Amino acid sequence: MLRLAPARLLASFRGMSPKTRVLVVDDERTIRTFTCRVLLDAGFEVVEADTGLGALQLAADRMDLVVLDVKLPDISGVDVCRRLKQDARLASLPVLMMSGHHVESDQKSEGLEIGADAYLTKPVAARELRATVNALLRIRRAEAALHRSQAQVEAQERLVAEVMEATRVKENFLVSVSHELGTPLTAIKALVDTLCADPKLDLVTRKEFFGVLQEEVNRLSRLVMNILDASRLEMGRFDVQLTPLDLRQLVTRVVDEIQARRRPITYEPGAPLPIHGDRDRLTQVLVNLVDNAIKFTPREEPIMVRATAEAGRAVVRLFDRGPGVSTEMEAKLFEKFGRLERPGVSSTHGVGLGLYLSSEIVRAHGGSIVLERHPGWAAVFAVRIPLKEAPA
Amino acid sequence: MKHVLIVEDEANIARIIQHNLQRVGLDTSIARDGEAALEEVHVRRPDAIILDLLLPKADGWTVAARLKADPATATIPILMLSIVADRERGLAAGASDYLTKPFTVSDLLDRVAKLLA
Repeated sequence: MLRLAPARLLASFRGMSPKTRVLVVDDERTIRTFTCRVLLDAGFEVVEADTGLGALQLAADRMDLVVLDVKLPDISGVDVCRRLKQDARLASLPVLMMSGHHVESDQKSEGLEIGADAYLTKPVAARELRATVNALLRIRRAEAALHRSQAQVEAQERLVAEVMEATRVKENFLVSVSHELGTPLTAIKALVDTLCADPKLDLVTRKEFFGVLQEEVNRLSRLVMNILDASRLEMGRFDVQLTPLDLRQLVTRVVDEIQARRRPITYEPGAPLPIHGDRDRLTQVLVNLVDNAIKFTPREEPIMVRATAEAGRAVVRLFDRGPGVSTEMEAKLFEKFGRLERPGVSSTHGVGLGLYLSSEIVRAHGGSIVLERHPGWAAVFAVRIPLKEAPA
Repeated sequence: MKHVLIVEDEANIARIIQHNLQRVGLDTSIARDGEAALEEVHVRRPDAIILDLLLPKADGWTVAARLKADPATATIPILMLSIVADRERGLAAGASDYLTKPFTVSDLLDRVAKLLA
């Protein structure tokens, strides 16, 4: 027999804020009615049950406290209490056990041992009942507050851990940046020292050194530009200026320029690839990708660039025969500071901004950069950018 | 003619160091990683080694430790070269001298001359 006490109905009809809900479990009707009356008068919402199983069913329904008689017709109050305390969702529900004076004190102890929060012996005076219920609720509220503050402490600890991780990443970044800035600077300084100190340097060597100087200055300026871009991106002041252009032409120019100065590249230009794009930014992306390929591919191995149209997109693929990219590294490839560390290659290379910036730039074009696997090649980076719709 | 082994993975830096050493009349060879450096030391028996610390394969610290552990190579003076200012650790690892990058060429030449003296 389960019944809803009138006060709860009233509360729900009036749309009042939920009151403290107490489940009263007792099979003796007179006692149950008395208990309910006392609690209703004290301003609680009351739900009644007269069996142990009925009580377990109702307990899950947003109760704040259970008043539980030990002697019940189906399962004992001790069993009800044990089951409540074993249920992770209900374990914090305070249980006030009650029994007649004839019950052995052993049973009281058992009730408390299995988790009852208080124990009263009947007959219970109205004032004693109210006071005990209020005391248990106070404890529960205090516990809840404690849990909340524990959760806050944990959240703060997580935050501290995140900040420390971010700091660690930035520190690594600074170490990488000082290496990356320091390396071209070392070469530039030594070259300038040498050129200044030796005015009679033969023309061939002089020409060679000026070429190296230019290469190192370019490398340094690219790195500085990347760092500036990353900080602009961080501050949300990074944008692309889209104008109609032919991506194939851009690729051809980058490939020609790099071929002329540094190293042969197999290039397969297809048809023109009309897109809306930012000329400078896309050039930056292409130079970055080709640089990476050159950096990681041994001199005797080929590098290939192919530009095609596929499914409404311009696709530029860069094939290299470097050491490849591990699955583990693949996940971090396009992250900020996700430095490309390929096996067997000097760990001084790269600060982890090139691919990150490239993917952000391509994303701003509505496109994507992905790492693909092609037989015969170690790593293939595919840049996709939507083709400009053909004029109607 | 005295021989100096240059251990440096940055080709341009190695090249410019080589040029300057040759200009003052030294014989040179270049190793691009730690393993190549160890091989080269055993083949060429250089009179001094310029050793960059951040290298592929075996880093400069490993190279120095191995050279110092082998009686046949322990006496070859080493000039460590690094962007990180870690002179004390370098000297403790057996280097005769430690130079921080970027360096001035005349400084480098002075130090190499001292190693060879």
